[in-house]
Formats: sequence, C-alpha cells, structure tokens
Amino acid sequence: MKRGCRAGLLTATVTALAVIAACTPTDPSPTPTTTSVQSPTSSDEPTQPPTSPSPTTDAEVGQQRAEALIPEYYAVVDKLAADPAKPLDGLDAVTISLERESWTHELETLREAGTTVTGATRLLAVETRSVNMDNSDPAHGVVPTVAIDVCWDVSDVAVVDSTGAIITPEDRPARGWTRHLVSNYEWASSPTDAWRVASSEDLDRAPCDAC
Amino acid sequence: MRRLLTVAVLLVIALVSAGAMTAAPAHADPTCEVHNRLTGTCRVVVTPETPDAGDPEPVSDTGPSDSGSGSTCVNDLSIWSSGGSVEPIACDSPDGYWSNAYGCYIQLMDPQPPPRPERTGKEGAVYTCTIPPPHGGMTAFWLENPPDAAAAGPSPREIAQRAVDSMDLHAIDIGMVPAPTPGKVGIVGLPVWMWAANPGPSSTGPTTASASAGGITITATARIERITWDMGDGTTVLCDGPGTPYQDKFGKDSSPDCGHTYTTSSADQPDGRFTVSATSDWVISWEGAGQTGTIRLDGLSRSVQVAIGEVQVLVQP
Repeated sequence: MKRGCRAGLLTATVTALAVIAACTPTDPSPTPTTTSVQSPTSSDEPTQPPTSPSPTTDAEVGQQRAEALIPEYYAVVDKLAADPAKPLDGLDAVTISLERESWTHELETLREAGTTVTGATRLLAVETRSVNMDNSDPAHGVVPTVAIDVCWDVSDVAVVDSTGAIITPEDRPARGWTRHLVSNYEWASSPTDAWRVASSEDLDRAPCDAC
Repeated sequence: MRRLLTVAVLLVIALVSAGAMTAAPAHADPTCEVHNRLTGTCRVVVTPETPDAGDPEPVSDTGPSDSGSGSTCVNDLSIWSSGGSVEPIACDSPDGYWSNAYGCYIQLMDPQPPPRPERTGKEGAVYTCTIPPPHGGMTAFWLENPPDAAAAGPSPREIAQRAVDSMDLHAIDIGMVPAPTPGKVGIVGLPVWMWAANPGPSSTGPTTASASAGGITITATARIERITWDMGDGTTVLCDGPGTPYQDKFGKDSSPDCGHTYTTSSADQPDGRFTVSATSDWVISWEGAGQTGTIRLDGLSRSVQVAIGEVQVLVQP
C-alpha cells in the first residue's frame, strides 16, 4: 500500500486526522487501513506505516468504523455504475436513508439510459470532522453519526454510453470535496457493522492537491 | 461548470425556515447540495422553500345530467416542467399518497437521515416525493408537517359548488300579464304572458365563477335550462327561456315563448286568486383539474297571486 500523502497537505480537523489509502484507486476489496492521530509536520514522511490504537470509547469505535466504510462506499458506487448487471441492493451494505434512495434512483437512471462508467474514483484525503454518538431519537435520524470530508478525484473515470462512446461531460469537475454523514441506526445491537453513509453534501472548498 | 439534472432523477432537500410550508418546488430557486461525481450532474437539489387545495337535486327529464364528483387527485404537470396540463391521477401508489400541491407521491423516509444542524430541535421529517411520468424521478423534502393527502381534499364537484355558492343564484322576479297586483284581474280565455322580470346574471344567467381548494381550481358557468310555471289551476307550463315581456302593442296575442290561457276563474281559490309559482332549473357546467362535470340546480322558486275572472254577458230578452 502506498504511503500516505505528506501530512502537510492535510488541513487541521476538529478531531482525529485520518489518512486512508491516499492517492490510490478504490479497491474492490479494500484492505482495512490503520489510522493515526498526528499533527501536521513539516516535511518528514512517516517512516513507519501509521497504526491506530484499538478504540476504547464509543466515539472511537464509531469513528474507526465510519472511516473504514468510506473507501468501501466509493468502491461500491463505482462498481454499480460500471456494471449494470450488479443488483442495486449492493447499496444496502454501504448506504442508508437519503443516500441509498438518491444513489438508487441515480443508478437506475443511468441504467435506463444504457450509461456506464469506466475507471475508479481515487480518494485523496479523508478527514473526520465530527463524531456525535447521540442515539436519543432514531425515529428522527438522531443516531450515532460521524461527519467525514472526502477529497475525491475522478480523473480516471469516464462516462460511457450504450454504444461505448465516451460521453464524459467536459465541465465535470475532476476533483472535489464532499462531506458524508456516516450513521449507525443499529448502534445498540450492532456498534461496528451497521455504519452506513446516510447523506452527503458538496463542500465549497478548494480541491486538495494530488499526491 | 456544474449543471443541474433536469430530467429523470432529481433529489430535493427542502430547508424549511421557521413557519409553514410555502410554494411548490417549481416556484423555488434550487441549488445543488451534492453532485454525482461520476457524471457531474446534480444528485441532490436543495430548495429554500417548499410548497403549498350544496346539494342540488338532479333533474333527469331534460338537459344534461348531474355528473359525478370528479377525481380529487390531479397531476399538474406544470409543477415539475414548464407548461403542461392537469389530469386526474390515482390517489395512492406503492410510492405513497398523492399530493396535489407537490405533484408527486409522498412517503415518510425510513429511516430518517441525520438532521441537518439548522433543523436540530425542530419538529419535522424528511419525506420522499416520487414524480410520475412523464417527468419521473424522485425528490425529498424536509417538512414541519406532512403534505396534505389530495384524497382527503374537496372533490372538483365540491369546489365547483363553492363557485356556485358565490354566484348568489336566486329565483326570477315574476313578470306577468295580467299583473299579479291588487285591482288587476285577468280574463278567462285571454292569453297570459309570463316572463322573468329584471333579468340578471344571478336570476337568469349565464354567470361564471371560480373557486380553489386543495391545489385545484374549478371554473363554473351557470345558465337556466328552463323555468317551470305552476299556474295554480293544475297546469304546469315549461318555458325554455326567460320568456318575452308583454307590451301593449301585442294586444291579445299569445306569448311567443311562455304563456298560458286560463279556462276557469280563480273565484274558488283562497283569496279568490291563483297562486302562480316560477321555479328556475339551472345547469352548471364546471371544468378544471383536467376534468369537467355538470351540476343541476333547481328549487329556486318565487310565487305571486293573480286574479282571473269571467266575462259575463248579459243578454236582455
């Protein structure tokens, strides 16, 4: 696995700083990465692969699981967009609520038009912004939620029509930031396995630098 | 430059300010909350505002029949597209219940997504909004209260009735010769003229009015189908129109369109007078919400009393 980007490229975050497989494409079988909490340094690259201590608090469990979900989420969406034969219920493993509904309809529309994609999204930066373990009102979406900002790059992704022609819009941004709310609606019974991306929003933020 | 998705899939999250829902999505100024990174199109759109819906007895022997209530659920295609017609639609589907105001099937999103910071502490929920063909697609709103179900709203006919109520329809003023006034006596065997005096939109029509409710606007036009004259002597005269006012120049001519000839005097009647009643029969045609219908309205009646006597000729032997 490639080393992570220089820490200096990563902006300060509210809580822990997570570097996950930076500058590498999403992997169909992503290897869980270890994360470390570190302050931005000047120029020295880590000499050891970063490792994460075993989580001891609920918040640490949530953050770790939510961060681990992100590359898997991106990989699942890429695969479903690339292969119309794959059932869309594959989204159930990585999304829920609004995120699942929106991607389901988005992918259905692509499939109805015979549109697919080639290539894979690269994740250049993953930053945890907040961890809120409030589980007081699941009926209104108040469940343990981790906000994670992702800088993604789709330079290697092409949109292809049913004839095989590339129809990637010329004005499609190659890179951008998106904030994902990763939530666990089954925290009480499944604190580690039920984390899902529940919603997303674009961030008005300058794209991150490439590694 | 990112562009908004204008066909098929649209996902809309409404940021509701304090207070009730307001305008329909087509009237808001949407921005994109999150794009589909793969295609560059908008996956979730944010809208700063969210949208905003008497018993006549049928007369079966003449004129158009009273029609049904019409469909309460109507799809105004202009909500999601510029232009477009209004047409009836099923009130329920697997995607939820129909909302006239939103032009889509509404369903509570389950599970609810994590609340946005600006909605923390506010009562409300996210609802999916599935748009039927030809536009298609799905949106979602955060709303303080669920949208009204169109099925629970007034039917087009009920709304038409509200328009009719605003017309203030009333019975005609009776015009008649012999005049139904004290001191005036008609003669057996002479033509009687009947007509609607002081005609106006509310007494003789036609008249038009509109009413709106539950996202439906209905326009109704009322006209008199006929006037039924009960002459008080056991005779009923049906007149298709308001009749022709009598003028002296007509002399002893019969009315061309609404008249009668008494064959008996009113001497045996209470007060020595025949009670003459004129009952208006209205036909109200309504249209709106892609539907049309008819309401029959009768029972608007007014009465007068007229004295009819006999001329006796004395013959001296």
